[in-house]
Amino acid sequence: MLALAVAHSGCARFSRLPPPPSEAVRARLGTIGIVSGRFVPEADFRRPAKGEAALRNAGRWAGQWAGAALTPIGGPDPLSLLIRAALLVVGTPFAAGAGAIAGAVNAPSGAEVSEFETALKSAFADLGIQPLIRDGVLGAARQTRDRVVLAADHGPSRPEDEGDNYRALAHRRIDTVLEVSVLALDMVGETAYDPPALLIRLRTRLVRVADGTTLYTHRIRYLGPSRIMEEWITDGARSFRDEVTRACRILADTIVDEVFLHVVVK
Amino acid sequence: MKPLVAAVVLVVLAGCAVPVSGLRPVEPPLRPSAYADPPIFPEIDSLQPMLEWEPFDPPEEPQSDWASRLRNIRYDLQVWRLEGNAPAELVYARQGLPEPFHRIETPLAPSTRYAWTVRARFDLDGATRVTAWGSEGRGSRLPQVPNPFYYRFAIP
Repeated sequence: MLALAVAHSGCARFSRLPPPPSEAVRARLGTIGIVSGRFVPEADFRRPAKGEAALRNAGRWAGQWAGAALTPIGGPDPLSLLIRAALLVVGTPFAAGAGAIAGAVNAPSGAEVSEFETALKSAFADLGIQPLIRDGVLGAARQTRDRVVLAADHGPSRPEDEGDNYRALAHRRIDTVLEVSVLALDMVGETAYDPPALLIRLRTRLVRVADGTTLYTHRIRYLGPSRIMEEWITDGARSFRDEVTRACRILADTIVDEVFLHVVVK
Repeated sequence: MKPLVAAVVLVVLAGCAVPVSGLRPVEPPLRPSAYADPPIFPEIDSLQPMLEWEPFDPPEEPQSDWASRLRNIRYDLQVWRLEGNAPAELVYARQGLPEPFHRIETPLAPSTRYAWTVRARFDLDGATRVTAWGSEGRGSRLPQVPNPFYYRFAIP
């Protein structure tokens, strides 16, 4: 799971959180309107079935073998180089073959993958994840400060839409908008056949209504525990529904901490 | 000569210390082996362990005026049950602890591995503020929740 976390932190846009808003910014937030995305986030519940898993795992194992064979051991003498070259040429196809077999044996069947996708898509459609995260942030924000209101009829209509400056909200006496949008939701595993875990990507923006200036923005992700596919979909995908709800609560608390409470101590 | 030897020893010891982000754990101490593959967790022989961390001191430069503006320092604590290597479930949480230590009040489960973290909570010019949740250094400002680099222990 640590490897999975590191792999997903490899994306530059998710590298580190920016510093939280300064105290000077916080002092001028005024009345805050909470909005969320008005789009359905990208949801990818596909898992590789036996054929695809075999292919992916062949590549993975071959790459790992080649990497190990190319790692310098001993000096740069001709004999050492010859041994490494032989290990690379002879061993890589065997590693690929073994990886393909492991992938094909361990991966789920096409029917199981299809059942998994269908169950999660259906559960996801019922959940309404954007209002879920918005209401979570609203509740958590109201515990930390006064003058927090809901602005349900506003919010970006596309995942990368950062064009809304919310100036239309000025007449509702909202000074600052806190926008939270779930961008994507995936089921991910370290290898092609590992039990998948829920990954949610989310963007936060703090926008000053008076002039449309973005005061603060960050992207954050939730990565939960892995479960076998059957466990995710049993009982109307109850585990999946519970996990999404729990993830939204944790994300909401984190957003509120970051925007309103957190200070970086040198 | 003695100061030189002492300086060398200090430098070596400093190099052995695991970098942290936030308040450093005192008990159980932070061990790099807890993040190795496979991890070796510090074991605590109690279902209600005492957790201790370094107290929060108002920072010096460049926030040198904090000492006069900062009041009512207390601590928030979280304990997560680990599944594999990932924090899976928040099983214990306390907010506003007055001291930099706490004995878990409800028994944890045996044969289970846990992650724990702590942060300071205080009033700055009358407004509540918190520091980052503590973690091993690699978890600093990691845009991921729950942070996989929280401190760790196991109950045998």
